Amino acid sequence: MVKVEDYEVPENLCYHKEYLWASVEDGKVKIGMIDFAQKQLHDIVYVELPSVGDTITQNEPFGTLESVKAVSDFVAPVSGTVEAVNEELESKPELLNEDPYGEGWVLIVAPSNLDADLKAILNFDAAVEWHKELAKEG
Amino acid sequence: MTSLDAETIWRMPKNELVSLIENGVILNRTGKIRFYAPSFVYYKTKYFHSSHDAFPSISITDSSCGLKCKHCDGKVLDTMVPALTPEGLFDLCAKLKNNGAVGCLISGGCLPDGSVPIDKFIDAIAQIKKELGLTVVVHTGVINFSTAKQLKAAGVDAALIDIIGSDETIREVYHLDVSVEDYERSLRAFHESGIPFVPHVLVGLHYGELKGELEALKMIAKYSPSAVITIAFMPIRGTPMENVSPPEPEDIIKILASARLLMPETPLVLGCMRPKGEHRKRTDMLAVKAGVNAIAFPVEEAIQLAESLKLKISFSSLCCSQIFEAIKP
Repeated sequence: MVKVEDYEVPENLCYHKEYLWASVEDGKVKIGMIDFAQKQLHDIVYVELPSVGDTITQNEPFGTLESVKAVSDFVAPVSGTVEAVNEELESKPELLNEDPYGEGWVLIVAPSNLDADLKAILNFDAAVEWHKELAKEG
Repeated sequence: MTSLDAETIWRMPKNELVSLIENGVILNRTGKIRFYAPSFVYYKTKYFHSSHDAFPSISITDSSCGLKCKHCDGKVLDTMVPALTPEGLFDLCAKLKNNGAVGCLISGGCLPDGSVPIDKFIDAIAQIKKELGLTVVVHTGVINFSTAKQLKAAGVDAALIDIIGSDETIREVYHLDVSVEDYERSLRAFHESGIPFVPHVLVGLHYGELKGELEALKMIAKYSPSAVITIAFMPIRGTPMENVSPPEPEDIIKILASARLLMPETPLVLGCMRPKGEHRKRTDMLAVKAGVNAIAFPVEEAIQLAESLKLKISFSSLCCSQIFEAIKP
């Protein structure tokens, strides 16, 4: 884990510029929100997520979130079929703020185009540079 | 059918009210609706994307507030950009202008008397208007005629104030030693100064229940506001009212409908603060059906509903208080 100013950037993840991370584990992809985003959004109070069995497509919206400071879509970092949804977020959306890389995970998907999708998103080194730009913009 | 008035709406059971709205009985439609998404909130839907810098909110007190009202506890201030001196405010606005800003909301915490300490920033605001040409709207809190006149002279585009119609709510929730009459004096000050002013009514401020909202609207109606914004209490984590249930969507619509009957020609807006999630969907949809003139940060379903009702739709990055400029003949 490195910190770019106030923002945590774990080493073992890939990053999509719509502020989500993706972690490949045993052929599945776990998806969550980056620390920078949760800090910018402040208290997240509502999420709407797809159901198990739904498909998501890279760069397309797959759900919504609302906070004191945001009304926005979740945008998929990879394509695939939803295998698990973090049901706890429905009653405790604050997990996205409290533990964005752990208990606040969002979805697990079975990827449908993983190699190509990963090439289109950021690896750790690129993500660190991107976070430096984000931190500068505030 | 007997003629409808605001008192009737206020006493009406929710299902009857919804039925009237569903049948298009209560409110006149202009055939138009405007959706607003200033930079106060990150808003991204397939219809519209707010800009980071187009119209930010600025706090002249940082996160400091002398009231620490039970519903907010100063937490909303944490989401604003701080500018603590007149020079700092001008420099920030100059920077924002360079980044493409078209305007800003100048706000801040209150002093113990319920006013926002805007006086020392008035010269800076005049300079921002003259040299940068930004649209500037200001949250004032309780205000006197002299300050209202100075804001008008500085060229402020609109003054915003939350109007409370219950002494008990003012005392209990705002911890404030003023009365409803002080809010009325503020409205009179705005009216007599000639500044465009846009009062807000916060539905459910009294622990989620309706209480002084109708009185607030009646007071507002006497002073010809430029527009009226209905917002609603939403529980914010870490505040004394975090576990209080918000008013129901139908309660919010009741206030919108009452406002329309009291002020048939005044632009009415569903403002940015309101409960989230499914609640927001229902509120926004009912508001569209009820003929509201504008909504800040609408849910996509409300935009789709407006389309299906063949309303003429437009979007703006400005603060929704500017609706009165948008619908000028």
